[in-house]
Amino acid sequence: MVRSKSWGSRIADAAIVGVLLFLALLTLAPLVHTIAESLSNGAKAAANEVGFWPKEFTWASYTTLLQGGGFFHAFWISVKIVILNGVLNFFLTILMAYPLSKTPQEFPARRIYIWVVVFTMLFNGGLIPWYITIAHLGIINTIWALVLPGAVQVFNVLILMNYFRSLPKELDEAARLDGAGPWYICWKIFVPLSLPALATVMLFDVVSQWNSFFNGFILINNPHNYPLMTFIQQLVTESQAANLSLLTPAQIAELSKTTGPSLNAAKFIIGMIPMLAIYPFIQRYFIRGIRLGSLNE
Amino acid sequence: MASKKFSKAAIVGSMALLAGSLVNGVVSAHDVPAVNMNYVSKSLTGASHPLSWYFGNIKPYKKTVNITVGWFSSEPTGLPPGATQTNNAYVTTVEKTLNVHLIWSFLEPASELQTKENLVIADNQLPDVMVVNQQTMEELAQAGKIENLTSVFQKDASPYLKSLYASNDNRALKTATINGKLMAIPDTQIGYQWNLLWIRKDWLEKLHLQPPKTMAQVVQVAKDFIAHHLGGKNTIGLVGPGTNSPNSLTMYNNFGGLDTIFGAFGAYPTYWIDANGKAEYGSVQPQMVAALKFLRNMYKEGVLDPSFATQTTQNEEAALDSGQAGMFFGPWWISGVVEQTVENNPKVQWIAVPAPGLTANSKLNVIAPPWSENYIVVKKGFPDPGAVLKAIAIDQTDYRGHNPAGLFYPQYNPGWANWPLLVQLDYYDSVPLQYHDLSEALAKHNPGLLAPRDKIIYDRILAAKAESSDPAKDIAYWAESEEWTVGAKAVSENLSRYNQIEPLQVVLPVSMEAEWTELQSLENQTLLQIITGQKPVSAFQQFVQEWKALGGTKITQYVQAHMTQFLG
Repeated sequence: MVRSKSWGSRIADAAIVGVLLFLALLTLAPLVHTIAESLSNGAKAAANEVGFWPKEFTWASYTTLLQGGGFFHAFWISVKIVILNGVLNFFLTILMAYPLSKTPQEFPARRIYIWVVVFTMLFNGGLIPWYITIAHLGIINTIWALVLPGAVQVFNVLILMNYFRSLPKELDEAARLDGAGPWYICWKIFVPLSLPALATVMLFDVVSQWNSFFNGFILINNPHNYPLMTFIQQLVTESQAANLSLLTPAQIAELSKTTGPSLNAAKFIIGMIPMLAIYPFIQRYFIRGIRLGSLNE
Repeated sequence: MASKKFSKAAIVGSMALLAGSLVNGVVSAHDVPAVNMNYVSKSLTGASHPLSWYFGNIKPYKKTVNITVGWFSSEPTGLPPGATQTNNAYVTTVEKTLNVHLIWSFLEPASELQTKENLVIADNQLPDVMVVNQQTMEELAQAGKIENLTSVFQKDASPYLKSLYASNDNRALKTATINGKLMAIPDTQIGYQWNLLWIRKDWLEKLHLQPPKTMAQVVQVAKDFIAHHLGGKNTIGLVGPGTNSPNSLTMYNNFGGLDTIFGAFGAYPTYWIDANGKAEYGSVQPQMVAALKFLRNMYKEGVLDPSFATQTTQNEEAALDSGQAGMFFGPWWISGVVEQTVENNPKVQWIAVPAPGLTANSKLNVIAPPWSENYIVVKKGFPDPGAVLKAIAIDQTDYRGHNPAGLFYPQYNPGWANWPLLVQLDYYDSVPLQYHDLSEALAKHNPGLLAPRDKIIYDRILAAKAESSDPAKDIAYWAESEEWTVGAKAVSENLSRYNQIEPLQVVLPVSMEAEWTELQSLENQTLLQIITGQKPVSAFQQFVQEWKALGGTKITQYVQAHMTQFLG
């Protein structure tokens, strides 16, 4: 690599590094602030006195979140949902995207299917019909109520379909000449070549499943079986001033140390950990997938 | 404490449930009715009535009655390890006493309950028993989906339950009566929970000041606090309500609410008032102008927290906790919310006085609570509605401590949500009544005069007194003691000074809901802008015109035509 040592380019380098550092710090700042808030006394955090360093350091927010075992129970439920939903999504998205990626000559009804799929992106029946459908499947109050309704994400199907279509048609033809059937071509050729797109859609899916809390409220009837985000959401709303009525004075005293912002912050941090943990794995696929793609062209 | 917890719970529940469609209103103003002291000896003291008076005619059912229930959920608070909201001694007591088996169909946090209920109603899968808001109750009644409880109530409600409703002239029952039929078991609202002025006593003493008796004196005291930097450089004279709810500025029984200042000028924003026998909306009445001028001046002079319009309620509380602020408006039970101030600095002392009026002798205008906010409904076709009433009587008796055998896990101090089927039911006069009992027992050093649950409060007040040099040691005792010896005292010993404005419960039809939400946000925004000086006081006239044009006139006409039963 050739390096120019002229002053002008050094200044330009310094400016670029400066801007990049600034952007990196800008991205990190809210995270650091949140961690600082989560470790601060609740009153200090509520009074907006916490910057990037905890004030009156305390683990109280974390102990409140972790107390009573409910936290880990909910955590495990969320893990199960993400795994079940992830596996289902993986297979169903591929099974739907692959045929739809074919040309109308190969798959005459493709256009109709695409319209049906896109229609569901633009219009939906609303909360009540959605709820009644799930209720009549008899899965309310089971883990399947949180897994099955999101088993096919139409948006992800379209992403993957377009990625399949971008792959060279010659691959498909060559495979067929060698006697491969559609099933074999899909799983042995298209899927391995599409890891970047698959990693992207899986990431979308896992993150949205992990973060959703509203479905837990209305599809699960017993708070004992809430997934993590619903559980945390409930804890946070209950700790707000008006809801203190549900607690005893001793618990109010404990909660007042962790009111609002610091408890919220701890919620964000703990809720983030699993996503941070899986990201490196998915990133590996990103890189490998991109390299594979580049070698084929 | 019991009433405190419930009063707050009622606000939570109602705020979550009412969601904009139910509007508190006001009918004629009248003096506070004399407290009915008969209840003191007969009801609050457990010894005077046999258990059967509380429980009613209770025998175990021969065949087990299964009741499916949709209810508020709560974290299992104040229970021993292993017990839960659906499985604890209160639940098993109901099961054993009545042979009634409770099955939880769904449990939802108060914030999500209404959504869930709308879904199960749409799906036509109602549980046997649900707790709903007034609007849902009326809709269910009109759709014929809930039981008529008129005769069951007559037959199976215990004398105790009936006396609770009677303490407020059966008004709660009236709100649940549709076409002469009782369609739900309503909760009751506790009276006398209007906002007091809470002041840092230690600051008053430092400056040799007297507690303010007029609103002008409130302003002066706040100025003195600020001028002497008693809370540091950024001392706040009077803390605001925060912005957690659009009505928090003017809401009754609410931390930081400014309703008593509006009331001093005869203005009742966000409530419907009776203007000479005609329902009118308080926020658009001419009395608002003088009140807004006063508040605007307070804000300009820095007396009212300069940042109140952008702060959450938690922020405002934090300003008190950090010792920055000297005064706030709040009801008698609010001490638990400010206990952190004392924990942070044991030298902090609070007193409460009736929120002052224009002159030292002015009658103090305050809003009365709504008649009822939550309704227990029984699904149409449920065979044993009486079992529901009996279960409620058992819960209520045990919760209020009238049944010594019903006090489970007192060392855990269980939260109210652990009693199944419990909503707020208490004597309308319970605050002055309990205060009367407690102060008498304290004066005579005789806890034997008290009902079992009040005995617990009595012990805690004594414990707090013994620890007065170090209140932070058991801050919950300090808070509870303060509720009664400071808060309830300020209410109960000044009843004759108050002029109470009766609430009117307006339920708007669904078709007007969106419009009403828009009007409310216009109103809230305009009031804030005028108080903070972003708009001149004259902008109020424009607001009134705009309000009327944007649907206010139509809604007023609807209220005038349909809510006549509350007038006069």
